[in-house]
Amino acid sequence: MRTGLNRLGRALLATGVLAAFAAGSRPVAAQNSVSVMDVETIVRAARPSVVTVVAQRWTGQAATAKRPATRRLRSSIGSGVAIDADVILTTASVVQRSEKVFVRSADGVEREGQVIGFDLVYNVALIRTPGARFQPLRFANGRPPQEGDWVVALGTSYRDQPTTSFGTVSVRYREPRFGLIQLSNSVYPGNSGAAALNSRGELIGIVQGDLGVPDPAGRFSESLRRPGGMSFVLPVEIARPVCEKLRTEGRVPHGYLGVSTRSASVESETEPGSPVPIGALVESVVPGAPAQKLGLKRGDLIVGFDGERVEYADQIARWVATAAPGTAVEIVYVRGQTPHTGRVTLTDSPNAAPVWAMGGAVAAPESTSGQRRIADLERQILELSNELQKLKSSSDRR
Amino acid sequence: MRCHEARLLFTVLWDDEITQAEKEGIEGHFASCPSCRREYDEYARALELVAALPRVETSADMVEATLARARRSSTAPDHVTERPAWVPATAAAALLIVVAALVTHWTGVGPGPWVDRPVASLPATPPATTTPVATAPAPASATKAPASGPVATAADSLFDPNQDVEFVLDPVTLRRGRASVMQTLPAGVQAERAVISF
Repeated sequence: MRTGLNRLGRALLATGVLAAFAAGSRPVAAQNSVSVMDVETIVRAARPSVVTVVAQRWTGQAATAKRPATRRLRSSIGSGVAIDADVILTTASVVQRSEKVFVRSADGVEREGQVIGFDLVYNVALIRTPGARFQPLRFANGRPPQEGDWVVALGTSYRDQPTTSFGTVSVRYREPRFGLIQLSNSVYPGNSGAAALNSRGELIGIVQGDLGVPDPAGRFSESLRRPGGMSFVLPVEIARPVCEKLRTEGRVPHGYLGVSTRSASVESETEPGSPVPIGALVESVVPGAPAQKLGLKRGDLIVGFDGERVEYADQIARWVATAAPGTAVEIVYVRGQTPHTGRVTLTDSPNAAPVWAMGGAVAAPESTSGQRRIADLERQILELSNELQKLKSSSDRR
Repeated sequence: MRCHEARLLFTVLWDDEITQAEKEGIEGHFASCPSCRREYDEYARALELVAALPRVETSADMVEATLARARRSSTAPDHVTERPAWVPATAAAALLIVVAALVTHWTGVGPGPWVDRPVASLPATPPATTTPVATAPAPASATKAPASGPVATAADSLFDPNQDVEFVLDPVTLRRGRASVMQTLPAGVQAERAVISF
């Protein structure tokens, strides 16, 4: 009788513990959280849709009668996500300037792909791999990811290694028309174009990069790269319409103001020696462009764009480029000491992206001076190696 | 203060990191020792000249790139194992073979120049002045890209660390609550004078 009661007591206790567990887990599930089991399921289901993208191009020059070839094969390797049975979404950083593109799936099958189109402003590219039957990932359709949401990042890194990282949405940046999401996930070299998935296994964005060092205009050194744990993704709300444009038109139209500016700053009063950005200083205005219609002149300081404060030249350049042609925007600029406000309709940009150049002459992104310098170096190296060959052959003869 | 003591203080005097007592001591010594005074003046002038030399600007990632190359070329073992007894004997034999090969090469005896023969154990350095040719066997892939043109032939040497491969992950800048993928400036454009057109 006593043992029977004991047994009953134990059974009741076990039921109580189970009930407590069940009660405790229900609110967590309701918060859209992820258990370890769910992560495994998400990763297993999404892995076949994540690929390695290899973009190759030749550099150097072909052989001539006088000199041997200096051609070298350069490969850029990133990750990609299948968004259709034969369409891969990746970043423009991976495929731009490539001559051939290969797509390697998780099972090791390699296919040659064709770049449908890429956009340098949004850093998005689409590749078609004829004959492939990838399992496409669904775009997240529900509410946009919010700070604190779980995120799984899937990509590939060195030697086709699959990378998986688990984190949360840290910050959603409210940049006009172009807000990146910051994750706490670790990302790895080669993860450009990797998938960021929510707790339902849907695509919420593609990985763009990790935290670099702030610099007014892009002088970035690999040696200054900071430790991981801060990664950035382009959310699908932005990437999706860009993909649609690329698929239907092959390009994404960008807004155009027709102005060349440089970042202006003043010295800080509280911290002497450190610059405080004040806006974009107009260097020149393209005749007939919207900027001229607005009345902008050399020396004006652009400080406002559609209700947002402009601090850096590349900032307003990005905002203008990400606005659709035909958009009317309000520009605030300072001439002398007087602020002026004007409204202007942006036109379609003739460039693929805002163009950097030295002050004065505006050059294409691949500046000729840089190319000339590289060609000079190549010639010098060739001459040196020819001399070495001569020395070697003369010593061999001796 | 003696001459050798004074000379030990030259660097701290130049750097102005000298204590008051040392400064008084060395100045007292300079007053009585013209040779030390002259020597210090020469030392100071040399440092000024060096400081006035123009700075040679290198690319910002040169140090990192050089270190990466050095790391690639010299892979040091994690631990040192005891050398087995057969190593010196094998090394001696290998040396003998190399010497014999060189002698036959110089005297013109034996088959053609040894450099032309394929050597399986040669390090896989990329041929810088010739068109690269794929040496690795193709992996078992069901739908391998057709070998049309030179790019396809080299597709499988991608993961050779000596090859020209970049694993892409762009830096993103954070400025006052804004995040943007960093744009690399075209070659020859300096950040301070850069102009952006849009």
